[in-house]
Amino acid sequence: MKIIKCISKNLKVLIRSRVASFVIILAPLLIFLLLEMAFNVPEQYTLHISVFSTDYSNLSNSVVNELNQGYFTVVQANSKEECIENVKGGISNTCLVFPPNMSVGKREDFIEIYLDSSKNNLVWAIKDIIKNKVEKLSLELSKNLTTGIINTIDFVEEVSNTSQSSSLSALEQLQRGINSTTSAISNLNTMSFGFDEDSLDVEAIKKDVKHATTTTENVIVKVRSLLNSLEDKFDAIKDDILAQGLNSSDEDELLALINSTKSSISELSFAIKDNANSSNMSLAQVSEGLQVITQGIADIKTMLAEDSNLKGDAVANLEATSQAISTSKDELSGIKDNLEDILSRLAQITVREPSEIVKPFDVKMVSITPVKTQMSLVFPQFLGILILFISLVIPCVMSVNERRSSAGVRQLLTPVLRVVYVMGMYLTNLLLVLAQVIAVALITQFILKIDILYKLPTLLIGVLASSSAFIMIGIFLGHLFNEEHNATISAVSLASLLLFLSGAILPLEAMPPSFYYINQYNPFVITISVLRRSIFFNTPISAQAREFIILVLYSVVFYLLTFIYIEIMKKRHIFSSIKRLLAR
Amino acid sequence: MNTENVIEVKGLSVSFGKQRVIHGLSLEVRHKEIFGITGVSGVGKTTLLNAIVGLIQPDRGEINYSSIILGEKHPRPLKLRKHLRLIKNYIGYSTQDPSFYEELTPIENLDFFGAMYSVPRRIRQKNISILLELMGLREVGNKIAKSLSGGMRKRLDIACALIHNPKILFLDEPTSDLDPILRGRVWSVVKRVNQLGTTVVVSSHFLNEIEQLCSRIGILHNGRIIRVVSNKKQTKKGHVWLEVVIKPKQYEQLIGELLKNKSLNPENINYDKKSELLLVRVSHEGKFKELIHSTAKKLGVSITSIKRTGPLKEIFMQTVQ
Repeated sequence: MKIIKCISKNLKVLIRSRVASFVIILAPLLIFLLLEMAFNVPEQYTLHISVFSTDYSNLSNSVVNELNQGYFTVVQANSKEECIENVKGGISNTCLVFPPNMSVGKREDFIEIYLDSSKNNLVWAIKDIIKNKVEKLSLELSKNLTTGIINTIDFVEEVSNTSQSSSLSALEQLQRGINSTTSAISNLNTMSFGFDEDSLDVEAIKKDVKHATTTTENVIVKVRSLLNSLEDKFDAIKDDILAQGLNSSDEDELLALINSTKSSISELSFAIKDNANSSNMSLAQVSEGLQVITQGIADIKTMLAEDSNLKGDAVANLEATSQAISTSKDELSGIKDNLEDILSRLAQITVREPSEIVKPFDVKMVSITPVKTQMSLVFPQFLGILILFISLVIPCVMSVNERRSSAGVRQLLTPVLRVVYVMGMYLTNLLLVLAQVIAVALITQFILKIDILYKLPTLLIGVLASSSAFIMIGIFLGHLFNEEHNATISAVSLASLLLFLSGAILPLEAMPPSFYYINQYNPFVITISVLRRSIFFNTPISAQAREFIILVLYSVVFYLLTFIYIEIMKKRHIFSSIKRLLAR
Repeated sequence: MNTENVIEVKGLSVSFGKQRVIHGLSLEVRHKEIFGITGVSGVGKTTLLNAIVGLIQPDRGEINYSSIILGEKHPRPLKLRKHLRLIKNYIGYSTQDPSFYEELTPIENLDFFGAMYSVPRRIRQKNISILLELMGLREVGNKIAKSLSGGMRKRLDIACALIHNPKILFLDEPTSDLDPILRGRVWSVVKRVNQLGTTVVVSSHFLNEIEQLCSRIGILHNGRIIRVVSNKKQTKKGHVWLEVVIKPKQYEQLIGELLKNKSLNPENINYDKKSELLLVRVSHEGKFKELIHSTAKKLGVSITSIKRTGPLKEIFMQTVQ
């Protein structure tokens, strides 16, 4: 009963304190509502993908088109460096670099996928998604390739069937030709084109003819010689007559000459006579030979007449053979065309490696985060959480305590502007955070052996900007509440909300687009981005100007809000803490 | 503005929401005096002091500080509302609850607040030394403040209010929650500060104590100073005021019996039902004590205490009634 009374009293006390009831009861509900709105969505990711290729091919374009499906936003980068920088800067979640004129079957070609491994809660999802997309496309391509091969096989089968029937027909035709040829050979074999060589002594006839010819030639030579001699003599007579005139001595000489001519003509006559005998003998022999030949020819004619019928059959058979061969040739020509078609179709199959058909193209995952251990990967997040909680909770509590403490009244009595105390609190917290970060950096460097110290200057500037924003938010919260526990709960709640919505636990990309867009301005998201880029990529501050400007704006806005709130409270006499304290 | 006055308050009104605490209040504080403000609990003494030092903004009215304390640079009186930051340099305020950093030592607290008032380091060190001595805190100068006793804390708070050598020191209930010995020590410190030339404005509901300390006392009632009592005037009359404490519900019977004695004037007997306080002004203290003891014995009334008191209490009771 007493316990119930205690509970009842506690609840009354709690509810009657409006701020406490809001912070303790409503704030967690509000946070939960926000988180539910942010994450109660189907498992899908709003991924931003940068792509680059010096020469986009159909295949690379089809990959890009595939990635464009669904909730992905694909941005074409102008260079590989820009593509990678987009990932480093958080503009894109991943970068895909296609080889120039990428095509299936080039084993040396693969898609390079650049990932930021420090986004460890997203990197696996990206890998998974990209892998699925690529596998899907790969499967489609594999299907296409296999379909092409199967279509070619079908074509070969069809053409082969046609060629087979043509081959059978050609074979039949050839068989017929062979039969006809065999028959023709048989006929030709039975034909007799010979005669009795022994009955015709051709050699003897040849000898006789040769002899007659020789004899005749000799006669002709001799006649010619005599005739030449006669001509010479008559020429000499003519010359003498012309030279000397007709006198007595000349007459003697003329007689001698005439006698000599007579003797030559006699010799000629004898010679012709001898030769005529020899020729007659030879001609008789030739005549005999010719008779034998004539007989032989007559015999051949007779034999040819007898073979004429056989020849007709052989010709007919050979013509049939020719016809059969011609038909076979046409058939074989058709088969040749078919084979050329098959070869042409086979030539179109460029991808023949089984591994290439199964996996038409390959991908290569490249981490842009130069770290070795898991601790290194999550280091920016750890550091960010440290900064978030220290910078938000401590100034908030300190601010409440300062105002609620007895010394708070004395502060108000001093002729010091409020800004001095607020700036004092800001700088105190800043020193605390910087000291913590330096301590963490030293531990990281010397105990965890992660090289961080050389990045410390850039890192500290990032820490300065981000912690300034959180400290100012904390100071503002500290001014909103009058009780330390309310302020603490509110600061922790806010820090938790920023943490949950930052992508440190669940990826931002899993949120609805509106939440994703708003969360780009979440100071913790910006802090993580700045730390990550400073630690992993040594990104200069100039390249992070947008983030730094937003963080500075947060600081300025909450600084101004704090003073506006103080002024409003002063004027509305709601300095309840002071009043309560002083009115005792 | 009267040349003797260092503070003039005219038509001051302060309210918290719908609750009007101060309503058209006017008062004057003179140079180097100890001005007391008294009134029943919750009447608005603290609110009045807070308004005068500029901790809260009044709804209406004017609070002016004289050039006497502001120095030659400011020959004319300055309005608090317009010159709050400047005036803060010349006033010190010790609130009812000590106001300093519990985690710092007295020396650190004094050094910090001295710096906030832009007191040069050398003078600050000197002031710290003087104040520690004056407040009897030298031995605990380096102890953490939250470990100090109630009296020490109160004295440290007054020291913090004095670190910048203010011209006017405001004290709000400086002896509440303190035992009589400590109260005596605090008042002696206040006297000493006043003797050094500081005007003191003190609020307290310990009438006896402020009556002994203050040169003038303002009685705050219904949001206004309804009467300012000068201590010198009260002491001229030479009567003795006795405060009689008996068990509740027996006062009326006792008063009725006392009044039967003709030597007592009914005007000299004052009874406040709320506070159950009986004040009697007598010319012969011994005779009255004999009378009241015999009467009480006769009626069977037990007298808890009879003690001497000042005239303020009677004036206060009359005024408030």
